[in-house]
Amino acid sequence: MYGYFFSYLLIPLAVIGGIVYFIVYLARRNKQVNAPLFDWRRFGVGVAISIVLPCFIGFATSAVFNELNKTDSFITMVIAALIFLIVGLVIGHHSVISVSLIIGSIFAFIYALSINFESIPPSIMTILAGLGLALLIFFAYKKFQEKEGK
Amino acid sequence: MKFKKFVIGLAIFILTILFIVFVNRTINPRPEYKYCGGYEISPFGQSYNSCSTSYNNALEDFKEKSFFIITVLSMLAIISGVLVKSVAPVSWGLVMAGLALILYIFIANFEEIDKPYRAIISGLALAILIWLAYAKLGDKEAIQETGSSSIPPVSTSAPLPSNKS
Repeated sequence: MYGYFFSYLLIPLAVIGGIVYFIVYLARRNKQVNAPLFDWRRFGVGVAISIVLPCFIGFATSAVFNELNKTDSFITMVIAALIFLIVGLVIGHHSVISVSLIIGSIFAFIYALSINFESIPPSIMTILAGLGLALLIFFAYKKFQEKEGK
Repeated sequence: MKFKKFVIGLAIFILTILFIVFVNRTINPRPEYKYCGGYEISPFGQSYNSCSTSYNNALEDFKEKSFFIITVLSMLAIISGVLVKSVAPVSWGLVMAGLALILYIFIANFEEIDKPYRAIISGLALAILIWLAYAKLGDKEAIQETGSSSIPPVSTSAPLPSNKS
Protein backbone atom coordinates (compact mmCIF):
# COMPACT_ATOMS: atom_id res chain seq x y z
CA MET A 1 0.00 0.00 0.00
CA TYR A 2 2.76 2.43 0.93
CA GLY A 3 4.66 1.40 -2.18
CA TYR A 4 1.74 2.51 -4.33
CA PHE A 5 1.59 5.75 -2.38
CA PHE A 6 5.25 6.42 -3.13
CA SER A 7 4.97 5.33 -6.75
CA TYR A 8 1.87 7.26 -7.72
CA LEU A 9 2.07 10.35 -5.53
CA LEU A 10 5.56 11.02 -4.29
CA ILE A 11 7.52 10.31 -7.48
CA PRO A 12 5.42 12.59 -9.74
CA LEU A 13 5.53 15.28 -7.06
CA ALA A 14 9.30 14.88 -6.75
CA VAL A 15 9.73 15.06 -10.53
CA ILE A 16 7.57 18.19 -10.85
CA GLY A 17 9.21 19.81 -7.83
CA GLY A 18 12.67 19.01 -9.14
CA ILE A 19 11.97 20.50 -12.55
CA VAL A 20 10.43 23.65 -11.04
CA TYR A 21 13.41 24.03 -8.72
CA PHE A 22 15.75 23.57 -11.66
CA ILE A 23 13.99 26.25 -13.71
CA VAL A 24 14.03 28.73 -10.83
CA TYR A 25 17.66 27.96 -10.07
CA LEU A 26 18.82 28.43 -13.65
CA ALA A 27 16.78 31.62 -14.09
CA ARG A 28 18.32 33.12 -10.94
CA ARG A 29 21.76 31.96 -11.90
CA ASN A 30 21.50 33.58 -15.32
CA LYS A 31 20.33 36.85 -13.77
CA GLN A 32 23.44 36.98 -11.65
CA VAL A 33 25.87 36.65 -14.55
CA ASN A 34 23.96 39.03 -16.89
CA ALA A 35 23.14 36.17 -19.21
CA PRO A 36 19.78 35.60 -20.94
CA LEU A 37 16.99 34.97 -18.42
CA PHE A 38 16.51 31.36 -19.39
CA ASP A 39 18.98 29.15 -21.20
CA TRP A 40 17.23 26.18 -22.81
CA ARG A 41 20.48 24.40 -23.42
CA ARG A 42 21.39 24.39 -19.73
CA PHE A 43 17.85 23.37 -18.81
CA GLY A 44 17.73 20.57 -21.40
CA VAL A 45 21.09 19.06 -20.52
CA GLY A 46 20.41 19.39 -16.78
CA VAL A 47 17.03 17.68 -16.94
CA ALA A 48 18.48 14.99 -19.22
CA ILE A 49 21.20 14.24 -16.65
CA SER A 50 18.56 14.19 -13.87
CA ILE A 51 16.55 11.60 -15.83
CA VAL A 52 19.42 9.47 -17.13
CA LEU A 53 21.15 9.19 -13.74
CA PRO A 54 18.41 7.26 -11.85
CA CYS A 55 17.84 5.09 -14.93
CA PHE A 56 21.55 4.33 -15.08
CA ILE A 57 21.59 3.40 -11.39
CA GLY A 58 18.51 1.20 -11.84
CA PHE A 59 19.78 -0.53 -15.00
CA ALA A 60 23.23 -1.14 -13.53
CA THR A 61 21.75 -2.58 -10.32
CA SER A 62 19.33 -4.83 -12.19
CA ALA A 63 22.15 -6.02 -14.45
CA VAL A 64 24.08 -7.16 -11.38
CA PHE A 65 21.30 -8.54 -9.18
CA ASN A 66 18.70 -9.49 -11.86
CA GLU A 67 15.94 -7.77 -9.89
CA LEU A 68 15.37 -4.52 -8.06
CA ASN A 69 12.91 -5.64 -5.44
CA LYS A 70 15.28 -7.04 -2.83
CA THR A 71 17.49 -5.72 -0.05
CA ASP A 72 20.83 -6.10 -1.87
CA SER A 73 19.55 -4.11 -4.85
CA PHE A 74 18.11 -1.47 -2.56
CA ILE A 75 21.38 -1.00 -0.69
CA THR A 76 23.34 -0.84 -3.96
CA MET A 77 20.98 1.76 -5.40
CA VAL A 78 21.08 3.85 -2.24
CA ILE A 79 24.89 3.74 -2.10
CA ALA A 80 25.17 4.69 -5.78
CA ALA A 81 22.69 7.54 -5.27
CA LEU A 82 24.66 8.69 -2.22
CA ILE A 83 27.93 8.67 -4.18
CA PHE A 84 26.42 10.81 -6.94
CA LEU A 85 24.83 13.10 -4.32
CA ILE A 86 28.19 13.67 -2.64
CA VAL A 87 29.86 14.27 -6.02
CA GLY A 88 27.15 16.81 -6.84
CA LEU A 89 27.60 18.57 -3.51
CA VAL A 90 31.39 18.58 -3.72
CA ILE A 91 31.98 19.87 -7.27
CA GLY A 92 30.21 23.18 -6.65
CA HIS A 93 26.79 24.68 -6.29
CA HIS A 94 26.86 26.88 -9.38
CA SER A 95 26.95 24.40 -12.20
CA VAL A 96 24.51 22.36 -14.27
CA ILE A 97 26.31 19.15 -13.36
CA SER A 98 26.07 19.63 -9.60
CA VAL A 99 22.37 20.57 -9.55
CA SER A 100 21.37 17.79 -11.91
CA LEU A 101 23.44 15.18 -10.07
CA ILE A 102 21.82 16.20 -6.78
CA ILE A 103 18.28 16.08 -8.24
CA GLY A 104 18.98 12.83 -10.12
CA SER A 105 20.36 11.10 -7.05
CA ILE A 106 17.30 12.21 -5.04
CA PHE A 107 15.06 10.70 -7.78
CA ALA A 108 17.08 7.47 -7.65
CA PHE A 109 16.78 7.32 -3.88
CA ILE A 110 13.01 7.92 -3.98
CA TYR A 111 12.58 5.27 -6.68
CA ALA A 112 14.65 2.71 -4.75
CA LEU A 113 12.64 3.46 -1.62
CA SER A 114 9.29 3.24 -3.41
CA ILE A 115 9.85 -0.17 -5.00
CA ASN A 116 11.37 -1.69 -1.87
CA PHE A 117 9.30 -0.01 0.80
CA GLU A 118 7.40 -3.13 1.84
CA SER A 119 10.25 -5.62 1.49
CA ILE A 120 13.06 -3.86 3.36
CA PRO A 121 13.70 -5.03 6.93
CA PRO A 122 12.97 -2.31 9.53
CA SER A 123 16.54 -2.47 10.85
CA ILE A 124 17.98 -1.43 7.45
CA MET A 125 15.38 1.31 7.13
CA THR A 126 16.35 2.59 10.59
CA ILE A 127 20.04 2.62 9.70
CA LEU A 128 19.41 4.39 6.40
CA ALA A 129 17.08 6.95 7.95
CA GLY A 130 19.63 7.61 10.70
CA LEU A 131 22.45 8.01 8.19
CA GLY A 132 20.36 10.33 6.04
CA LEU A 133 19.44 12.43 9.03
CA ALA A 134 23.07 12.62 10.16
CA LEU A 135 24.17 13.64 6.67
CA LEU A 136 21.51 16.35 6.43
CA ILE A 137 22.37 17.74 9.87
CA PHE A 138 26.06 17.72 8.93
CA PHE A 139 25.56 19.64 5.71
CA ALA A 140 23.07 22.06 7.28
CA TYR A 141 25.47 22.71 10.14
CA LYS A 142 28.38 23.21 7.77
CA LYS A 143 26.38 25.56 5.55
CA PHE A 144 25.10 27.71 8.40
CA GLN A 145 28.53 27.80 9.98
CA GLU A 146 30.04 29.04 6.73
CA LYS A 147 27.37 31.77 6.45
CA GLU A 148 27.93 32.92 10.02
CA GLY A 149 31.68 32.93 9.41
CA LYS A 150 31.20 35.31 6.46
CA MET B 1 9.41 38.26 -34.49
CA LYS B 2 9.51 36.41 -31.20
CA PHE B 3 6.32 34.58 -32.16
CA LYS B 4 7.91 33.51 -35.46
CA LYS B 5 10.95 32.22 -33.62
CA PHE B 6 8.75 30.30 -31.22
CA VAL B 7 6.76 28.72 -34.05
CA ILE B 8 9.93 27.73 -35.89
CA GLY B 9 11.35 26.24 -32.70
CA LEU B 10 8.13 24.33 -32.07
CA ALA B 11 8.13 23.01 -35.64
CA ILE B 12 11.75 21.88 -35.26
CA PHE B 13 10.83 20.21 -31.96
CA ILE B 14 7.90 18.27 -33.48
CA LEU B 15 9.68 17.37 -36.70
CA THR B 16 12.78 16.15 -34.86
CA ILE B 17 10.64 13.85 -32.75
CA LEU B 18 8.79 12.57 -35.83
CA PHE B 19 12.06 12.12 -37.71
CA ILE B 20 13.65 10.05 -34.93
CA VAL B 21 10.50 7.95 -34.40
CA PHE B 22 10.16 7.19 -38.09
CA VAL B 23 13.87 6.46 -38.51
CA ASN B 24 13.43 3.91 -35.75
CA ARG B 25 10.35 2.44 -37.44
CA THR B 26 12.15 2.24 -40.78
CA ILE B 27 15.29 0.58 -39.46
CA ASN B 28 13.49 -1.53 -36.91
CA PRO B 29 9.90 -2.45 -37.89
CA ARG B 30 7.57 -3.64 -35.12
CA PRO B 31 6.69 -7.37 -35.31
CA GLU B 32 3.05 -8.09 -36.13
CA TYR B 33 1.06 -10.46 -33.97
CA LYS B 34 -1.85 -11.32 -36.21
CA TYR B 35 0.12 -12.73 -39.13
CA CYS B 36 2.75 -14.80 -37.41
CA GLY B 37 4.98 -16.68 -39.80
CA GLY B 38 2.94 -15.70 -42.85
CA TYR B 39 -0.42 -17.14 -41.81
CA GLU B 40 -3.21 -15.99 -39.54
CA ILE B 41 -3.12 -17.76 -36.18
CA SER B 42 -6.03 -18.74 -33.99
CA PRO B 43 -5.85 -18.98 -30.18
CA PHE B 44 -6.78 -22.67 -30.25
CA GLY B 45 -4.52 -23.81 -33.05
CA GLN B 46 -1.45 -26.06 -32.84
CA SER B 47 0.88 -23.31 -33.84
CA TYR B 48 -0.42 -20.82 -31.27
CA ASN B 49 2.15 -21.50 -28.55
CA SER B 50 5.19 -21.63 -30.76
CA CYS B 51 4.01 -18.58 -32.64
CA SER B 52 3.34 -16.71 -29.43
CA THR B 53 6.82 -17.52 -28.16
CA SER B 54 8.46 -16.38 -31.36
CA TYR B 55 6.36 -13.21 -31.31
CA ASN B 56 7.47 -12.45 -27.74
CA ASN B 57 11.11 -12.98 -28.69
CA ALA B 58 10.71 -10.72 -31.71
CA LEU B 59 9.07 -8.09 -29.49
CA GLU B 60 11.97 -8.22 -27.02
CA ASP B 61 14.41 -7.82 -29.89
CA PHE B 62 12.38 -4.91 -31.22
CA LYS B 63 12.39 -3.18 -27.82
CA GLU B 64 16.13 -3.60 -27.40
CA LYS B 65 16.86 -2.16 -30.84
CA SER B 66 14.39 0.70 -30.29
CA PHE B 67 16.04 1.60 -27.00
CA PHE B 68 19.45 1.73 -28.63
CA ILE B 69 18.39 3.65 -31.76
CA ILE B 70 16.23 6.25 -29.98
CA THR B 71 18.81 6.84 -27.24
CA VAL B 72 21.61 7.38 -29.75
CA LEU B 73 19.54 9.69 -31.97
CA SER B 74 18.24 11.65 -28.97
CA MET B 75 21.77 12.16 -27.71
CA LEU B 76 22.79 13.39 -31.16
CA ALA B 77 19.86 15.84 -31.14
CA ILE B 78 20.85 17.19 -27.70
CA ILE B 79 24.52 17.50 -28.69
CA SER B 80 23.70 19.32 -31.92
CA GLY B 81 21.23 21.57 -30.08
CA VAL B 82 23.89 22.55 -27.55
CA LEU B 83 26.52 23.15 -30.20
CA VAL B 84 24.21 25.31 -32.37
CA LYS B 85 23.92 28.15 -29.87
CA SER B 86 23.80 31.08 -32.28
CA VAL B 87 20.25 30.32 -33.52
CA ALA B 88 17.98 30.03 -30.49
CA PRO B 89 14.93 28.30 -32.06
CA VAL B 90 17.08 25.60 -33.63
CA SER B 91 18.92 25.13 -30.36
CA TRP B 92 15.90 24.77 -28.09
CA GLY B 93 13.93 22.76 -30.63
CA LEU B 94 16.66 20.15 -30.95
CA VAL B 95 17.46 20.05 -27.22
CA MET B 96 13.82 19.73 -26.18
CA ALA B 97 13.13 17.04 -28.79
CA GLY B 98 16.09 15.00 -27.60
CA LEU B 99 15.02 15.50 -23.99
CA ALA B 100 11.42 14.45 -24.68
CA LEU B 101 12.52 11.28 -26.48
CA ILE B 102 15.06 10.39 -23.78
CA LEU B 103 12.35 10.89 -21.17
CA TYR B 104 9.98 8.65 -23.14
CA ILE B 105 12.39 5.82 -23.92
CA PHE B 106 13.91 5.62 -20.44
CA ILE B 107 10.58 5.68 -18.65
CA ALA B 108 9.07 3.17 -21.11
CA ASN B 109 11.94 0.75 -20.57
CA PHE B 110 12.53 1.25 -16.87
CA GLU B 111 10.75 -1.93 -15.84
CA GLU B 112 12.82 -4.00 -18.30
CA ILE B 113 15.48 -5.31 -15.97
CA ASP B 114 18.28 -7.85 -16.34
CA LYS B 115 19.66 -6.15 -19.44
CA PRO B 116 23.34 -5.19 -18.98
CA TYR B 117 23.61 -3.38 -22.31
CA ARG B 118 21.01 -0.85 -21.11
CA ALA B 119 23.26 0.01 -18.18
CA ILE B 120 26.16 0.50 -20.61
CA ILE B 121 24.13 2.69 -22.98
CA SER B 122 22.67 4.81 -20.17
CA GLY B 123 26.14 5.13 -18.60
CA LEU B 124 27.58 6.33 -21.90
CA ALA B 125 24.68 8.78 -22.32
CA LEU B 126 25.29 10.11 -18.79
CA ALA B 127 29.01 10.53 -19.45
CA ILE B 128 28.36 12.41 -22.71
CA LEU B 129 25.82 14.71 -21.02
CA ILE B 130 28.22 15.48 -18.16
CA TRP B 131 31.00 16.20 -20.64
CA LEU B 132 28.63 18.46 -22.60
CA ALA B 133 27.70 20.43 -19.48
CA TYR B 134 31.34 20.62 -18.40
CA ALA B 135 32.89 21.65 -21.70
CA LYS B 136 30.17 23.62 -23.46
CA LEU B 137 27.82 25.13 -20.86
CA GLY B 138 30.23 26.98 -18.59
CA ASP B 139 30.56 24.36 -15.88
CA LYS B 140 34.31 24.15 -16.37
CA GLU B 141 34.76 27.77 -15.26
CA ALA B 142 32.22 27.44 -12.41
CA ILE B 143 33.88 24.32 -11.03
CA GLN B 144 37.34 25.83 -11.34
CA GLU B 145 36.14 28.97 -9.51
CA THR B 146 34.64 26.87 -6.72
CA GLY B 147 37.79 24.79 -6.47
CA SER B 148 40.11 27.78 -6.31
CA SER B 149 37.96 29.72 -3.81
CA SER B 150 37.66 26.80 -1.37
CA ILE B 151 41.46 26.56 -0.94
CA PRO B 152 42.89 29.70 0.73
CA PRO B 153 45.96 31.16 -0.98
CA VAL B 154 49.30 30.52 0.71
CA SER B 155 50.85 33.68 2.08
CA THR B 156 54.40 34.18 0.80
CA SER B 157 55.28 37.00 3.24
CA ALA B 158 54.80 34.92 6.39
CA PRO B 159 57.93 33.07 7.55
CA LEU B 160 57.93 29.30 7.25
CA PRO B 161 57.95 27.40 10.56
CA SER B 162 61.39 26.05 11.36
CA ASN B 163 62.03 22.71 13.05
CA LYS B 164 63.77 23.41 16.34
CA SER B 165 64.63 20.16 18.00
